[in-house]
Amino acid sequence: MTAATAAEQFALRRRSPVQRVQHVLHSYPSISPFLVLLVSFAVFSLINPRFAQPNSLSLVLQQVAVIGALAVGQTLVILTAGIDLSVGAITILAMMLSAKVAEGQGLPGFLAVLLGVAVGVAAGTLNGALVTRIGLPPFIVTLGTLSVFTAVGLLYSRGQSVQSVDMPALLNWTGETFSIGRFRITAGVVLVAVLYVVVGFALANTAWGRHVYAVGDDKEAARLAGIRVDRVLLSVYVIAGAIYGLTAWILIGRAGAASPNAITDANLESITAVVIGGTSLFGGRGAVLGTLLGALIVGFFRSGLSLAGVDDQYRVLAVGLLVLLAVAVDQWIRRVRA
Amino acid sequence: MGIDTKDKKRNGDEDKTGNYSGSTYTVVCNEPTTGAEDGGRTAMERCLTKNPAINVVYTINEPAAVGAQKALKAAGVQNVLVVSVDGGCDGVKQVKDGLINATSQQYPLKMAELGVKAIKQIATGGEKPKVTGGLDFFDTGVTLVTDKPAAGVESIDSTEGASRCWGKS
Repeated sequence: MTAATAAEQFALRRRSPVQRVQHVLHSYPSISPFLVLLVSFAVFSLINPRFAQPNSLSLVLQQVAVIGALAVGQTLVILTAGIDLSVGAITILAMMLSAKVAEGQGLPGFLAVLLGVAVGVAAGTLNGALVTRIGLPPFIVTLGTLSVFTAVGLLYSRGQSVQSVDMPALLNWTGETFSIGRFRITAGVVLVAVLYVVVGFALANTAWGRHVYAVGDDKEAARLAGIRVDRVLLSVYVIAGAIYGLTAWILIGRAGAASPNAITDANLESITAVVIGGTSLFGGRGAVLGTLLGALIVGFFRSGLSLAGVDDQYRVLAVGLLVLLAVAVDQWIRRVRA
Repeated sequence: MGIDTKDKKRNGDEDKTGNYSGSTYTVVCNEPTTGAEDGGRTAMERCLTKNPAINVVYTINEPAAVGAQKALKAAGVQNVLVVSVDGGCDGVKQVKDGLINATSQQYPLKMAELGVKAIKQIATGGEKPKVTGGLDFFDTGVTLVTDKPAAGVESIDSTEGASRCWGKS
């Protein structure tokens, strides 16, 4: 029997317990947010038993649906080492256009929903084109389009809301509640669940998904491997835009109106969910499952602390500390040696 | 955030619990809404989780009240008095539609008009407007808009409110 090669020796080396934990977390990035979710559930249930009731948990699901959906698009962009600051602005623009056109021009609900998605796709295409064709950093591109889309949305809607009674029923359908056992969820929540399954499957099991990870991990290596980097990047922004357009529909049902003042903190909240979910801001590592957990953790914290009687400002503080902790843990995990 | 009880410097000076002409009251919850429908809904859901027996809701503006009403409906909670403040045309219509029980109508145009008049008066050597009796500010006035007037509370109905509202589309 020949002596093991250096590589084999390296693979078989003894690891300290800490290294082993680090290695497991590196291989399964959703473990740490999952643990945080379990612990926070246990703690908040102990503080106030109402927290664990099906009714409160149903409400948390409904509350995180919109940000959770937006965070799917944000995850795609962040996986490519980008960032999307125009999430909220695109959603509001898509929502105001589909609601106003449905109200004013009597557009049928089905077409109004499609119009919202089309607006999202158009806005995402603009972001993607600016990133790939002109080569501007995603941060700058979406910082600019954040203002552009916000302004267009406000100019078009004249800052006015559209009430649910003035819209076709289908636009409000996402807010319809129904029961599963003792849980009460909305059609919007179901849509978000489907979104997670579809995007999760595409990322893990399609060539496109693997390309997204490859581009995010190392653009140059991806190019040398024959991946058309720009095309993958553009597709990510376009799909993210479509997701934001779809979320506009979910938001209408949730709010019971289309208001340009809705989801004021969507940009930062969606990034928060992604980061707490263990997706790396440096690209190439993470998954939508983590993002779902991240969105739920934020929902748990906000509701749990509210039930515990904690003032809202401290809830914001707690979420901020969670983000810092999540990024610190991510940095530590990334230092793992294969 | 939200309306803290017993803190004049921030908002409101009522005790958390106390008596009113009818009986006793408890302020069970206050939550921020960002003054929009989605925030109003989330805030109301959290308050209902704390205490499903809430029977009076006061919101910072009408969009937040509409969101709160949506949460109450979804939870199947009935006979809650939802009141708000602003009295813009959308808000008055929501009173008419029964989404909001009453709203306190403000008159921003009157505020602006009286404000400019006062500035001109002071700038041309005239006197400052006197504070309204019993208050430490000049009261430009508000009117309660409701279609279910309560005995002893002055109010106008939503039709009258609509004729005086601001922000017509």
